[in-house]
Amino acid sequence: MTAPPGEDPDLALLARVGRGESEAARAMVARKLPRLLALATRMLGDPAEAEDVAQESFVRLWRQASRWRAGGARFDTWLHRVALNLCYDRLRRRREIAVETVPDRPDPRPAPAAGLDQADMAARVAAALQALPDRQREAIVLQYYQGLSNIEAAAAMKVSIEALESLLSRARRRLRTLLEEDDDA
Amino acid sequence: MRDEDGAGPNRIATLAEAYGADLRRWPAAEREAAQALLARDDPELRDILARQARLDAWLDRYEVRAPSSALVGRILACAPQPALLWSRARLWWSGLGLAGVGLAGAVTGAVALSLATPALFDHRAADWADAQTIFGEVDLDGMSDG
Repeated sequence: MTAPPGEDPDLALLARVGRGESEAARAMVARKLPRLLALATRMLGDPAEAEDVAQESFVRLWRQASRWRAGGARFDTWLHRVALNLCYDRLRRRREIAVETVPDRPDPRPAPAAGLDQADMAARVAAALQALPDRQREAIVLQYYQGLSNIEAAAAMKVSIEALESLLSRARRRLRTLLEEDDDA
Repeated sequence: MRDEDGAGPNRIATLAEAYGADLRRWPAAEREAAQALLARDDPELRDILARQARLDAWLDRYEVRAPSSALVGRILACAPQPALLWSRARLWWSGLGLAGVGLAGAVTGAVALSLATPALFDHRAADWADAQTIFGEVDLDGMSDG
């Protein structure tokens, strides 16, 4: 997605980061880190790996700050893409390791519903999310959790709006099945 | 009720199934028309929205903890450092300054020395000065005939 320079809300702060202003770096971390960490956590389902992805995303952000040229992708879309690519690298590595070692497949179904507290419920949703195909999970994380508009999410995923809506519908259908099946059990 | 060219019940159902029950998450361009249609309180659409709202409530349970201060610290440790950039520039300029001062000092020292002990700057004169003894002049070159 392209954005005229005046419409990208991150450009002024990014320019200050590029000039090496430490206050701007702090403000950028406050603005972007919680969202990047949430994105990586929900994509990977592993807090430690998510921290690594968030940190590596920032290394790239710092490197890019003084070189960023307005007029191309929105900065936030680019940053989401960076983090998603890092997540996909890790997911790919996991699959390679899984093929090599052939471990027991984890049960994709969420845990039983009885006596669930907030943490258990979160764990169930996390498990259901991990049970989705990667692209469906990516769609729901970007649109629902990250709050990207349909245009921004489609741009970050490099798909059409129609394709995004199809991925979202399938993801939500599958999630509902997983979560409600378990509720009924 | 439209559906071929805009928001009708089918499109509303599609939007709800993709984006959930909260209209704020729906595409901005379709929100207003959808709102108008939903205001008619169609029982079928109400059911669809209720189902999606239930799923939304589930999804909202999955909260992610805030970044730790350790992570923030690690990230900021790699941030571009203005002090580093400026200190490099300062180091470069101060290096240049030191070289200049050193050069100026060397020249000044040389001039001062030459003024204080001009004979030292003439090899033969220096040799002559060293060669002076209380016994008179010593032949340094061994070239004297006498």
